Amino acid sequence: MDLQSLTYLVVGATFALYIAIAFKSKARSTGDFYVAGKHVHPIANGMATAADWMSAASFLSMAGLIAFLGYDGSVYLMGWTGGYVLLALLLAPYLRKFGKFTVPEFIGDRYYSQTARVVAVICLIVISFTYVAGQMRGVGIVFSRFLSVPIELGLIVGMAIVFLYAVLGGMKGITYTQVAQYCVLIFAYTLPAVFISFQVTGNPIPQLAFGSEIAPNLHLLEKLDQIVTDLGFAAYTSGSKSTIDVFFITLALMVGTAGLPHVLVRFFTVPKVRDARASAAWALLFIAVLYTTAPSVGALARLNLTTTIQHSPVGTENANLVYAERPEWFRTWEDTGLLRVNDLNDDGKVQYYNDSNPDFASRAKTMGWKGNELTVDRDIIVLANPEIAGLPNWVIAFVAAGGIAAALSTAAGLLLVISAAVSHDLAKSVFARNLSDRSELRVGRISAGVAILLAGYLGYNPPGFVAQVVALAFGLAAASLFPAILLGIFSMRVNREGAIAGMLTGLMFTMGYIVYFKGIFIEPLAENVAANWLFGISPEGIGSIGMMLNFAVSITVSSLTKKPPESVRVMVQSIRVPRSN
Amino acid sequence: MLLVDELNRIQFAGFKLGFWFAQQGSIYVFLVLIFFYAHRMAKIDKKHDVDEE
Repeated sequence: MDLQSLTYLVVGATFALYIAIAFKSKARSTGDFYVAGKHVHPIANGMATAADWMSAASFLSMAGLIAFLGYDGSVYLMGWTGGYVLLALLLAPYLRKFGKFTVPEFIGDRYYSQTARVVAVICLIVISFTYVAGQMRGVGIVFSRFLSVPIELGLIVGMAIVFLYAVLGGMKGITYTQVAQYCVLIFAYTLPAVFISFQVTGNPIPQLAFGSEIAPNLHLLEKLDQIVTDLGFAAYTSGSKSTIDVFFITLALMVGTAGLPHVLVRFFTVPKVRDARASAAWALLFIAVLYTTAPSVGALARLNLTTTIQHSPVGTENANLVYAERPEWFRTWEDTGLLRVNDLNDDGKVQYYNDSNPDFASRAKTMGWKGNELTVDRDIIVLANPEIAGLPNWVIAFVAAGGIAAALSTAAGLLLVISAAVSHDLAKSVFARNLSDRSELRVGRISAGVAILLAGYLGYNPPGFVAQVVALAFGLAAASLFPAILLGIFSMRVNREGAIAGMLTGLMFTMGYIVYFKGIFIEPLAENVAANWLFGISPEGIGSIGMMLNFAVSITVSSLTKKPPESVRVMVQSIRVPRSN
Repeated sequence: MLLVDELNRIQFAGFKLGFWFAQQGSIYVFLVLIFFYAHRMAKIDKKHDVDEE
């Protein structure tokens, strides 16, 4: 069977599976719709959280990001996994004990204020929509690359599938589809990685392979360092970012992870407080399978790619790939536009080097090189892996299904928190307090439907800022929701005034800083370079400062205004003790 | 990440140790932390008779 029909078959089969699961677990009450009736086993919840969390970006882009950033890419690995430690230790068990449905609900109850609740809803919606637009885009891209259908059609199919199982099944439906999606995506990710590791190093375990020897007394990473520095790039295993910037970016990503509403809400779905802690642990384990494989895939792919282009030492005769003799996978990916060659010096060969490194310029000139001729899209690292390794077609079909699974599972989780915020936190508590359970469920389904349409629209017409959303979503989560929740659990003194002032300060400061340097809706006001940054912290890391400001403002304002009422003291005391009373 | 330069002087099974910690070790450390915490807290809750059973 040819690749095309095989891919249709595998992707179609996974879709059928998701829909079947959704029909089996149809939500019958708001409890089912928002938190899956709180009956989810911690291991199942761990898997669902992992799928929920690992987005199209984790699946498609992360290995590529690390491949081209080298050591600097580590911030994503550490930040996105370290967040789970914060979740497990500081937030998840307490939110589970609180035992209601949504994150804004906790903030509204703890700070005895509808205003606080609405501010939390605003933060949540801004964070979730920026994030979901990228996911829908991811679905469209995978469809168009593997199934050669137009992006729009791919988007519509993806929307229809999410609509079916998120609207019908609610949290209950997406939990069990996410478990299935985790299995699909992790299989699709690790299988090619194992084959590639074995081919390059003879060691099938990716986590060990990129430390192994590929020639006597020559480790893979030493070879990689040597080969990329020969071409004027920074050494793979050393970083170029300043220590303070690395520290703040990692912190912002960690805290942002812990403050993302679609991840937090997953811990509302387990039966007990103990299960909330356990499922954070399982979630990290399942995530770590992919996150420890990714750096290995990145290093191997960088080596593979670089040695394909530069097969003999720099400066020797005929050391570069002759364009006419390029391998088959090279041609395939050139067709998609992800790999582009521009023969600047017309020698019929490909030169791949760092042409913005002034120290290397004179050397390049003596060799007759007139600039870097190869442009690589980083998504290609994962997508092209099976072809580079010469794996059979069914593996490639699985990679397509895995990419779609990663994007759909995250999109569904995000859409659900949006709809819950609208139906539960706005409709039920602000506009129509006497809404019955049945009509609330209906409002929830309608708002999920509307959110999907809107997300699809954003995916089809991505606003110019999609590339910046990572900084934005994480920075905002870190600067607004995380401190409010944390103080709500661990302080009895922080009151309504403090929390609202803190959330608004964090939100506006972080957004302002990112807009200032990256320009969302407006032109950037200053060039995004280290010299202009506050304390040398890039916009990606500024959420950490926003978080600190939020803490400072919350505590100061609270100590100047009057204490929270006695009922809040009782509530805080009760969420700190697992047994209910 | 703060000690990376010091750790990078140590070679360990083909990795520079600082680099290994950044891309692998830190994740394993996080895992151990959470599993230990979850296990330990369940025990402490039981000891103080506040567990949910």
